[in-house]
Amino acid sequence: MLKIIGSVLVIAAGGLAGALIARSYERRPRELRELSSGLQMLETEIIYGATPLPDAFERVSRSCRGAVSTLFSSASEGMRTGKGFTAEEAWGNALARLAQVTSLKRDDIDVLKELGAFLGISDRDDQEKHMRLTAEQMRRQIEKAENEARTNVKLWNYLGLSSAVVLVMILL
Amino acid sequence: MEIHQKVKYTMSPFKKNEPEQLHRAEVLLNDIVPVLPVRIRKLFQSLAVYDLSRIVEIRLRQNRPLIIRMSGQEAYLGLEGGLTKNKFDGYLVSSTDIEQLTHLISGSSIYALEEELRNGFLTLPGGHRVGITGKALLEKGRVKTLKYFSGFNIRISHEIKGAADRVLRYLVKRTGNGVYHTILVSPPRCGKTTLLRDIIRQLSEGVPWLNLPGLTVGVVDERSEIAGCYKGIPQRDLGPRADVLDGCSKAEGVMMLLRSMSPDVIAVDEIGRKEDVEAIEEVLNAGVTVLATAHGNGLSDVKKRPALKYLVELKIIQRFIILGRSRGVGTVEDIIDGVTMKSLGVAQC
Repeated sequence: MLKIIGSVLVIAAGGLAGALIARSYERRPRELRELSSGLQMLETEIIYGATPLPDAFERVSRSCRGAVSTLFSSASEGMRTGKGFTAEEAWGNALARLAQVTSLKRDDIDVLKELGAFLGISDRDDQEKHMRLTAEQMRRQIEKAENEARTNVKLWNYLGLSSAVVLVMILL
Repeated sequence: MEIHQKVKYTMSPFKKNEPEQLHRAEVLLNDIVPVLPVRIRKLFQSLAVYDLSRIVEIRLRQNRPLIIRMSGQEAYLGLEGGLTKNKFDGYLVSSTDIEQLTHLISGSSIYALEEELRNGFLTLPGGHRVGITGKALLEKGRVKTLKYFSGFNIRISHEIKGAADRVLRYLVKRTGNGVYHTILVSPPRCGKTTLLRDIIRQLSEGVPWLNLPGLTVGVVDERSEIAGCYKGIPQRDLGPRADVLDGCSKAEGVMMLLRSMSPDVIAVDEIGRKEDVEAIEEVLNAGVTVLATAHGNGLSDVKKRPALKYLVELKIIQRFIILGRSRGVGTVEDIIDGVTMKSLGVAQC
């Protein structure tokens, strides 16, 4: 009896662990997509609205959700502290915070960080070029993340469960 | 650190007029220092109050020493803190500094400031002006915008309330119903705009001791220096009855104000071109009082410029206030009656 309960627990734990890892693979492309639509909005604000950057960040933050919204709002707040933070610094700090709470990879954050160096210090045409470049890079990251997700989600779901089963069999 | 203290002490021997000094230093620390690049910011924060209070302009040019202009003299920003007269002890402005400064003065929004860059300057919160040089990008032969910024000139704007006290009684009509058409004449940096600003403020508030009720003053602030607008909001006190058109050309602005804001007085800065004078004539014809400034060392200089000569010879402008610096910035050298061309005698000012 005890053995049965034990093996059920092991299998459940294994399955859950696998599902959790699989979930994080699923989350990354979703978060990337949210980010890239946020950047799209930022581009519109900058190029068509000529909205000053702190205001533009805030507006984008209001129309996003979750971690992405927090990214833009903390960048906006960072610039408004009056302590003389440049957009690059404020954006970098906000990204560092974002990295801690999301399943984004180092590459993804780096793409965004690169944008920071150009944000707001040139005319509209130039801004547009940089925003387009970042959008393109983001699209590639999304593609990569989706490919990874497709293979890894299945893999980890099965792997978790099946390794638990194997473990149970060995223990029995 | 010891040397530091010594420099501070020797640079600040005067203790007179301390509240005014403190106020000026505070303006600099609150409005200007936060937009300076980090390394320069630290050096400024270590300056003595006396030094801070005298700063009029801060000039930053890439790969050149930072120059601080005070009324009537110049100094370099010392590498070890304090101010110095020796070029080799002066802080050298790096390309990183220029980049950071670009970020900070524009709120990282250069793209939103195309119009300002076309004019070569932008206005900081607090009404201070930053002149910018760099590479101009042309479109159809006109400057479209600036790129690769290389030089900045931060002009600290101080409003001096009461600057107009001593001239007001020459401007207000005896009958107490309005003021004379007036032009302030002065070389650059003699307090022309400061005086104009205070005249506007006092007229718009009303001058009880001259029995003048508050007048509606329309201000066409082409160079954003009178009102120091930031995002369209005047940062300088112009009293309760002033309407400001910021960044608008004089010719167009005057017509807009005449049409829609029913002003008693229209104030403009730095007239000189033919269009400006035409705009002024427009105001005169509408029965509205003109208040303007013009560059020049006295009235004879003004008469050398064709457009202004024409205006003087119309004999419609009733008062010319001549400014100079014979007894410090903002000295009123003379006030001339524009009709009789005789001095009203203001030797006591």
